[in-house]
Amino acid sequence: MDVKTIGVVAVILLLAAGGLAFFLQPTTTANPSLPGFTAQNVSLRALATGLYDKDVIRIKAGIPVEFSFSADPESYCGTVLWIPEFNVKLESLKGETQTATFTPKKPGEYAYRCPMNMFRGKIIAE
Amino acid sequence: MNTKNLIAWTLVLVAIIAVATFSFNLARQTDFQQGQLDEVQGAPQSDSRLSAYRPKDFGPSKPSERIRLENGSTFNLEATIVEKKIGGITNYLYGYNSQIPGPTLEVNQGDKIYVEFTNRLDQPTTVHWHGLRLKNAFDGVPDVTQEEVKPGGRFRYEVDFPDEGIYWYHPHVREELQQERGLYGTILVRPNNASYFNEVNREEVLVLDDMLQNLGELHPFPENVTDFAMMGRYGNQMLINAETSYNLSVKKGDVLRLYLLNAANVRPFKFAIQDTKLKVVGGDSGKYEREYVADDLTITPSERYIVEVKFDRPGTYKLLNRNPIKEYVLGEIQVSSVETQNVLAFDEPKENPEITHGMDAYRKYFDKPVDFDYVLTIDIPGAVPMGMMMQHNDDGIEWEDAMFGMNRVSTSDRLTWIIRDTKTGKENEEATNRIPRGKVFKVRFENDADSLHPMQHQIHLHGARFLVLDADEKKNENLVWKDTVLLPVGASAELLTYFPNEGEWMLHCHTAEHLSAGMMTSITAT
Repeated sequence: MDVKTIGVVAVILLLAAGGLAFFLQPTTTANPSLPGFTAQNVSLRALATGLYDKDVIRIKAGIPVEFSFSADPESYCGTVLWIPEFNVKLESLKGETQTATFTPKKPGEYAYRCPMNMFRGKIIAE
Repeated sequence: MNTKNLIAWTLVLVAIIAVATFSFNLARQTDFQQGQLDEVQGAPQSDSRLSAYRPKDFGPSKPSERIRLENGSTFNLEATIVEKKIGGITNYLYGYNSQIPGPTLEVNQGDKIYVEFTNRLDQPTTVHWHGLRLKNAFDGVPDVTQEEVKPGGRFRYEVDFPDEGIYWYHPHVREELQQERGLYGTILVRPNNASYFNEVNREEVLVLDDMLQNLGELHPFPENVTDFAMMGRYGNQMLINAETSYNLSVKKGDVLRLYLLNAANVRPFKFAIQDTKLKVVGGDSGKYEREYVADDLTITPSERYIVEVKFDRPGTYKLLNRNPIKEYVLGEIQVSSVETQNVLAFDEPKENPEITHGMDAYRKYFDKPVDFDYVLTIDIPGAVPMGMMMQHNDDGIEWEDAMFGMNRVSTSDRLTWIIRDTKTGKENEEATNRIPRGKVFKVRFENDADSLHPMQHQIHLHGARFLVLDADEKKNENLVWKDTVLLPVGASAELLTYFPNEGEWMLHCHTAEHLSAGMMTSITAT
């Protein structure tokens, strides 16, 4: 095997490695046009009616969740969101959006609620 | 392997890896997009409105009557489903004899009547004779003094009227629903002493109430639980005698005696008449030791007040609910320029020594130790304290529902309102006590200011009348017999009372939703 052949194989392997790196690297940096490729974006709002805008949120287990929360100020205790399983506590006292990131490692159901336990919903990780 | 083969196999290998990687990533991407779709479609809740109430059988509502009943007479009373327009909205409501308020029964002090009650509702009910010291069997408490009266069923009540003043009758089954739908009526017990009350030109009974109307109808009720259990169902439609614009025409110089009752589920009223002083004459059960003048009067649910007013100048006088947060016009009194034919004196507030004298027998007990001591509090499983939940005014009263959404979803299966006996630590139906019939005893209440949701309670004792000796450890210098006491946040009160009749008598908060959420115990007179 001459030096030329080794050079060609090396270039091919280098290109292949580059290609692999392109496809396998985290999408958020490799392909910003597909946000959430490795982090699931979820939004939730507490309403003045005493309910969340979603009482069930379905996600994939093992993938980080970027959780955005906001609340109608009139929802009172609803302005504070608590997801006990992931130790998440978000406050949206003036309607602003707050975010937290967590990863449900196992499939299952995880409650989210207000501190008074009147607003209630659940995350289903599959 | 020659050079060409090596390059070819390398290219094939790279191609295979590339295709596999691309396919894997494509699959992941599709999966996640599906996941996002699920999340977006993840059962977003609407306002979860309950289904509208559409009864099968109902009739028109009828005007409220005043019915004079003689001693020993029998009165037929029916709970019926009626259609009634209130505030431009047609509501399906409940009435006594198709009337809202039910008929005002006028009887003499010391008389007894019999009430043949028939339930023509679509759910069980009973009739509780509020404030009357009658035989326990006729107190109208389901599973304690009687079985529920099922739809189509009947019950014969024997009703005694030992005390003068204004009383009322209402159900003791799902009060938060049945009272809100209109099941309440008043009783005027005429005093034995003809000169007991001041002379007036006319008398009117004003039942204050509110009603929650939403999206064109009475806000519906869940079937098996009570909603608004945290704070009670505050209405958005203010009512006097089930009308949104009560109207009364009087003559210049007329003196009126108004019998006021708050029949709302939870809303306290701060009653006032525009530019008019209220001479407060009586309370729940007869007259005060001393009349007094007030600009307005806080009337908590189930409390009664007797006031006298005089209109010296023609004009229109608004009836107001003037609480610290909001002012509502409840109706109007039109005073014509035609002078009243019977001009009466409207004296300065006077003392009632006969009332004071009547209480003398109890004074030796005023300083006795407390027999039963209760704290009023709440348990919300899973809740953690948050200071923002304290929505009461500086006076310790929630005059309005400042947390409608949260209040609405706070159902009676999510929390328990508690009367706790501080000596035994027992709560609600477990906290029962006993006392010999006729024995004078003292009860103390304290409304926990540090609970998860501190708010006012109005404690009602069945089968007895009591004196509120102390409020917040200040001696009460103007006593009146009562059966309901308002306890703002952090307040305490000491009551002196006795049971004239044997039996198990209920002690509970008269906020209808708090009662449904457990806030009731009893004292048995043996």
